[in-house]
Amino acid sequence: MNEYKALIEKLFEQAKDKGITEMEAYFREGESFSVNVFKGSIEDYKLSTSMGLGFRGFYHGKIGYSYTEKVAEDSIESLIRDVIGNASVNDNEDDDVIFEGAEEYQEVITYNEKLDEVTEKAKIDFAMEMDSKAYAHDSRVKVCQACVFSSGTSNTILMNNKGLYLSEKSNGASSYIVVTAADGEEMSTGVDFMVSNDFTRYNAVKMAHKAVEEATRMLHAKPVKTGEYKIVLDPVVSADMLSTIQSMFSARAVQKGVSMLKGKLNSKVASVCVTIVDDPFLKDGMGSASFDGEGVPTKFKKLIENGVLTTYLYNLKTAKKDGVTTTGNASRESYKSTIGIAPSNLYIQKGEKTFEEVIAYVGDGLYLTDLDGMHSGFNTISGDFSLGAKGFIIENGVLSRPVNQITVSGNYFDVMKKIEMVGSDLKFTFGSVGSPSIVIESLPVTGV
Amino acid sequence: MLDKNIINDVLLAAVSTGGDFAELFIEDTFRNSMSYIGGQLESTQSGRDFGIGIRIFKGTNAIYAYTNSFKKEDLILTALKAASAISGIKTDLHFNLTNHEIDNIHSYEILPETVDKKDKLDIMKLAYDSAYNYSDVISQVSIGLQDQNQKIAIANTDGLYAEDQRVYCRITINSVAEKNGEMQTGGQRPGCLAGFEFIKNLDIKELAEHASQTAVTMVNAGYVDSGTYPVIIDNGFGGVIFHEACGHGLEATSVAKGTSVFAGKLGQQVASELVTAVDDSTMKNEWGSSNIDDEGSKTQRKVLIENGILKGYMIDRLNGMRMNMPSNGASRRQSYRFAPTSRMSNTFIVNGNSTLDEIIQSTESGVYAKQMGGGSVNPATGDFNFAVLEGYMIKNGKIDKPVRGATLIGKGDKILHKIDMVADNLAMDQGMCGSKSGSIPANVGQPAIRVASITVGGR
Repeated sequence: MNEYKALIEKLFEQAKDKGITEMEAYFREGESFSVNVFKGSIEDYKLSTSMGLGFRGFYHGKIGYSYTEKVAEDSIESLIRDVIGNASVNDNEDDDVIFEGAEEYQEVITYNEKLDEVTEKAKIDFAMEMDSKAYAHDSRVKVCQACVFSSGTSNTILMNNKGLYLSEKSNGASSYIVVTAADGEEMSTGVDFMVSNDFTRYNAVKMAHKAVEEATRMLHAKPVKTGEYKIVLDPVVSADMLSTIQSMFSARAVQKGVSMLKGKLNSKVASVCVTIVDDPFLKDGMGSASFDGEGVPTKFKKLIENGVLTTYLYNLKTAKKDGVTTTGNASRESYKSTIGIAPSNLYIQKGEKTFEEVIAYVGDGLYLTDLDGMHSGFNTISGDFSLGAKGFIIENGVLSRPVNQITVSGNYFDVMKKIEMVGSDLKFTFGSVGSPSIVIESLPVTGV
Repeated sequence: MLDKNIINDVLLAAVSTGGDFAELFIEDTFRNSMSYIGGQLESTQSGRDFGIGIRIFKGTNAIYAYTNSFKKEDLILTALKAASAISGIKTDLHFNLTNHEIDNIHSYEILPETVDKKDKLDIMKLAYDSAYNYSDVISQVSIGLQDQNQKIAIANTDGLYAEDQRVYCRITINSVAEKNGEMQTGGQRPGCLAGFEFIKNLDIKELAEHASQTAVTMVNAGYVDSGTYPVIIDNGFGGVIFHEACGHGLEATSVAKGTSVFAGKLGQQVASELVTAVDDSTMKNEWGSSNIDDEGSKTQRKVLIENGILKGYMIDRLNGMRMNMPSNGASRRQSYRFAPTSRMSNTFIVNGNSTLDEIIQSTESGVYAKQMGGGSVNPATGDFNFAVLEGYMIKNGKIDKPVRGATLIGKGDKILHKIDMVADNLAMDQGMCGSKSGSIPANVGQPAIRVASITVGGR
């Protein structure tokens, strides 16, 4: 790492000579491994070692960005040239800020050394076991489409010429399985996934069985009659929707006039049982971090408390424009990214009722386990959605037959106001957005 | 791009444990992207992607590794690490890297990275002003300008050494209209495998106004009533349904696994006889074209479906071996970070004999999807779901009121049989196609088509 720190110092020195005043570098290096098993043999096997350097700085009072994946001395010239070129056309009136650093950062554990001790063989065996256990679990399993295990480690340095130097070592792993079950002409797909940097939490048999059961229980699904239904959204489905529309909380979207939450601060935007939090300190959270993309300490916050919008998500630039302090939500996906805004771990806080109690409470309605077309049938600005759905009928307080080929439509901002209950079964998506089961008063469903 | 002796040694290291084929993909790409929102520059980024991918085959098993390092010892180490996944003895491979000369048919005049950023900004300003001033209800406009200069070299243990250069430019215009607290969007996103002359020759004002026109039309539209209708899907981006719901099933990636509904159906009727579909990666300067594919094979024009009969697939080397069919130059990847596999390039339904007017006139009542949005498909079942960005009802053979919130829902293979009219107005539109080997530029296209009946989700 010292080798790269020295290179960055050299870059800063030469940039200063060229007229760049304040500047910052973001360096990341990492290793990754991924295996995909198909029908008992390795279909994909992938290894990588990679690195990149992002650079930004002020030239004549305006900020410019550049990056390179050729992290070497002969790249310094182009990094500086591009920052100057980009800053020279920057006519943005809002002030960018390079952060001098803070006194205190809350420690967040993002590295598990035990994961780096897990051998490639153990990871391959895990994927192999998922594959074989899936076929063995049910004769209706037609094909196990993918059995993937991935892991990676990375080191990040964020440093500037205002005294900030932060570094982070982190690792992570994830796995997923996709199963197609068939019964005659009938076909359906089931999925299970796991995200954790603790290898002992991965259970191949459990994941394989879950995916198979999810696929088989949907066989012979049929539509329901068109009408209004009380709806229970599965945690992952609800979290997926929240994830798709999360930019509504971004102060940038609000300032640009592309968030429906514009002008709604301190007013009721959801029903009283809805509290949405952004928690960067969540244990095992994919979005957990002690500092954000600008080096600002992260913090826990409620975005919606008992239905009332309490804050937007800010980085330094948008906070300065609104005359508030940043919420520590500057995002920087990689050294290639410019600074944006993103939540850390974003989730709807859980309630008290178990899933069974939620279904019993609903009595009659629909439990939706799948919404298709989230990136097409869901307008992330207006909140309008019209999505293909699958799930189960809820009858007399219990689940009955499977349902498919229906569409459910509505507006997310209406839905938030029509949430009657949240369950206790908080679950996260493959990313860092979570939700418990939620009950929606009613939505129009098109079937037969 | 990399010394041939180094390439040679890395390839030998890659097959040192019994691999029977190895390939190197070397990439050096310069990128620029600018975004302009709300009357000022939002961000500009410039950079260089640089890396090397190593692929090894043992039978039909494949291993992939990549690194950003260009140092010989790191490359050898990466190759050996990848090779260690195979346990065998060194394969006795003899090869001499021979230059494979490429005739660049996708010429460019102005390398985009040499264009003054101020000139780029002026074009974005023109787009912004034209879109914003189109109507009072336009509340926000965002403009993006991206260019890329990708240089690649491919070498393999067959002795192939080939270099290619791909220069891309694209402008995106997105308008938001707001009325009574509701927002609707419209957009245009032309792109090309060419130099900056492509952007200079565009009628920016017209494109920008078109984007705003869609947003304004839709913010004034009522919701569509859901139900089953005949649907006319207009040309250009309308081809996204064929791309997503059928095209992916014609890629060897899913055919070789037998998971595609089109597997084992060559020579069979898979679509209405009005349908002929082609994937052509040789079209001059088109968004999805290239001289060679990302494993160094010359690209081709491939007839996929002819008069409703399944004629062929898009095939890469590895899946070709699995299927016992030769590659047809369809192997693509986003960058050195991805192993290549069979992908679409410029995929379209060819012209039919009707005119759009005739199709509309012969439709008693239905939905006219003038502009499609994005969508998704379940590859196993073929179930798809696509948003109609700009839609209208058709009443008594005439275009009636605009409708919003419509989504088209169905199964890819079933829809192909239900196409009962095909117009003569073929057009292409540009998209980024995301799949196993990353996100790549791909053209979708078609003339206007009518699907006899399709489920329309709405309210």
